[in-house]
Amino acid sequence: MVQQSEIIALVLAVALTPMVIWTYSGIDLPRKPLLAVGLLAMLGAYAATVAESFVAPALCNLLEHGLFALAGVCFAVLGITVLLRRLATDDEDGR
Amino acid sequence: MIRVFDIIATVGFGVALVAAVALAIAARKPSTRRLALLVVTAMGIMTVVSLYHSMSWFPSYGAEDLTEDYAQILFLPLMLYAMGALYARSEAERAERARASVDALSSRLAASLEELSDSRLRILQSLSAAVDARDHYTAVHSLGVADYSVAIGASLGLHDRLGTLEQAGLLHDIGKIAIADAILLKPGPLTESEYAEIRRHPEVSAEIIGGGSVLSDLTAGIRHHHERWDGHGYPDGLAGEGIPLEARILAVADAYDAMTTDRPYRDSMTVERARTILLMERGKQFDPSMVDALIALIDQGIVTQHAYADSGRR
Repeated sequence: MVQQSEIIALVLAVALTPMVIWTYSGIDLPRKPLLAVGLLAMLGAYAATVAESFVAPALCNLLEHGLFALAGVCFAVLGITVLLRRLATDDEDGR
Repeated sequence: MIRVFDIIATVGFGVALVAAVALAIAARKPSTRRLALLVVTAMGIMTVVSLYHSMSWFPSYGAEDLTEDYAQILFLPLMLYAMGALYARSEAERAERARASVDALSSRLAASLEELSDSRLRILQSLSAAVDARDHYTAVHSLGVADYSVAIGASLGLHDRLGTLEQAGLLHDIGKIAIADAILLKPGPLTESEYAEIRRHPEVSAEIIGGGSVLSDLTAGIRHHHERWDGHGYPDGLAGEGIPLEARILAVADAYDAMTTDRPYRDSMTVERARTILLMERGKQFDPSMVDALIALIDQGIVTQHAYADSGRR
């Protein structure tokens, strides 16, 4: 049975996606594609969460958790990259 | 398998959370810290949600639903807000980089212009020295023409062209260095062929000046300073306003200086006599407005005979 919170999450994700895409284009970030993959994985996970109430529950559940894992890895690599870049910049500045 | 995914997600979001916390701590600007804290919140939510998924000992499924599903809703708006802040910061950094590039370019341009100006001055000095070494009279005459041209230009409000007029005046006869002494310094009247040789000097001057691109803006005035308002001048027979403005000014200044100084073949005229001839040639040899300007300067006592008249003309 699909839950209200899952529907809200998916609708919100779909509604915000155009703004995310527009904002994404103007961002300067090292390894920027990881941000796109992470956000897409989150969107896919929301969709799989809703879909599992209607079709192939086991597969959709696996997909949901797999996409969350993918998003987690993307954000972890992105976070470490930004942090290392920041530390390197500080070293160059002599701080 | 699902449990493995959940653990990977927990570790992944957890690492991102730690990195965001470190960035927030290391941030020097408040705006950067706010941005990092937004990411800390978003990653914190997803770390907790993933923990809910992976911890089999979590108290009840119902409690997981309430916290996990509603918490997830916050993730995307938080990330979007963080991206918006990052977007604004990226724009500001791009603008700053662009400004820095423009500043650097301006500095280099200013340095290049200064260098160009120095080169121009050095070339002018070298050419003037060459004229002086070859023909002292022409060098002194050129100083007079430069002064009169500047005075006429200033009286006509041509303040942005005074530098060009002065330099064109100094170099307008440089082509005479190519004329043989026997013709250039001949005390008596010239033969037809000698006069033809003399008439080549504006073209030769323009060729000398035009060869150095730094002075190429002087070429038109120099080449055409012997054109006549009625079209009977040389080298191209231009007429009226078809003659470049600098050339029309140089023509009047050149004639006035030539008339009021001693030449190898005749003594100088009085200012009054030169004034009369200028008026007679107004609209024939000379541009009427240039004659009017010079006459006004003569009548006001601003132009008489130039200061170099007695400085060693031969």
